Amino acid sequence: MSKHGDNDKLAIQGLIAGERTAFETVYRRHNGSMVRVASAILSNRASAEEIAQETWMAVLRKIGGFEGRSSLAGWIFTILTNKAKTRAKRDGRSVSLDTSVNDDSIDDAFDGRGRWKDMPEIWDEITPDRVVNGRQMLSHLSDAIEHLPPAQRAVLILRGQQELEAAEVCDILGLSEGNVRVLLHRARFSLRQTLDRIEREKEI
Amino acid sequence: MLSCRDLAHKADAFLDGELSSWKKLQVRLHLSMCNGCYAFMDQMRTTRQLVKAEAQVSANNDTKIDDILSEFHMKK
Repeated sequence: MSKHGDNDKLAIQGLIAGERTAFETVYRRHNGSMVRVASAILSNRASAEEIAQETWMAVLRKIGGFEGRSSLAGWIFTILTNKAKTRAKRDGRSVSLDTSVNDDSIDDAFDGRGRWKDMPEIWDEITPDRVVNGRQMLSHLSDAIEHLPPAQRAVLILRGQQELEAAEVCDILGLSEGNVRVLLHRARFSLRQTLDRIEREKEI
Repeated sequence: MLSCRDLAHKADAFLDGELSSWKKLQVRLHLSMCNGCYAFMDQMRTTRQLVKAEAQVSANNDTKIDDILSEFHMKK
């Protein structure tokens, strides 16, 4: 069982008992990320919202049979991605995420001898405390996340935000552990580039 | 000796504690001698924290909650 074990137990009991507050807590924790992951697979926000809603219905119907072999979140996201893939197939779209990372944004930041083209400097303006107060910064970050390639976005949300175990993310997205590691790093590196640009322009 | 490029490729695995002790030592050694990479590692830490904070902000999407609840007649 994951580190979310105790949280999970309470949530599951609440869901089985049909308690509204338990549902609301679990819904708030996951729904935004569910829509985003489904969007990454379907490239369509409206379909993604439908899939998320169908997933919640399935979760409530099936929760009594949940055996806790994965975390609750892992189980929910497995249902979600299965539904999204079925929908993608029905719509005649490709169901596998494109995991190629040919465009090497990391190497582009270095010269031929492996040195920084632009030497990083400690950020003064962008610090977690400041930023959480200033919502505008986070909305820049939201835009940057929306613009990540779908596979990077899905991995970032599941690993970097929902904090699922790497092995769960591999199962849910059908990717190898190596792939998940590279995609996550690319995603974070490219968000760091975006934030650095904002810091240098001081447009916070 | 790691180059700055090598370090950038390993930064995320370093922060996730996924490097072997030898690799970890190489990264630490490089960080102790290179201000640019030291700043970069700090920026990567901040980026990861902000990504987590962003999840809270983007989660405020409760429009569908009542539809689902009415279907299942949940207790208040």
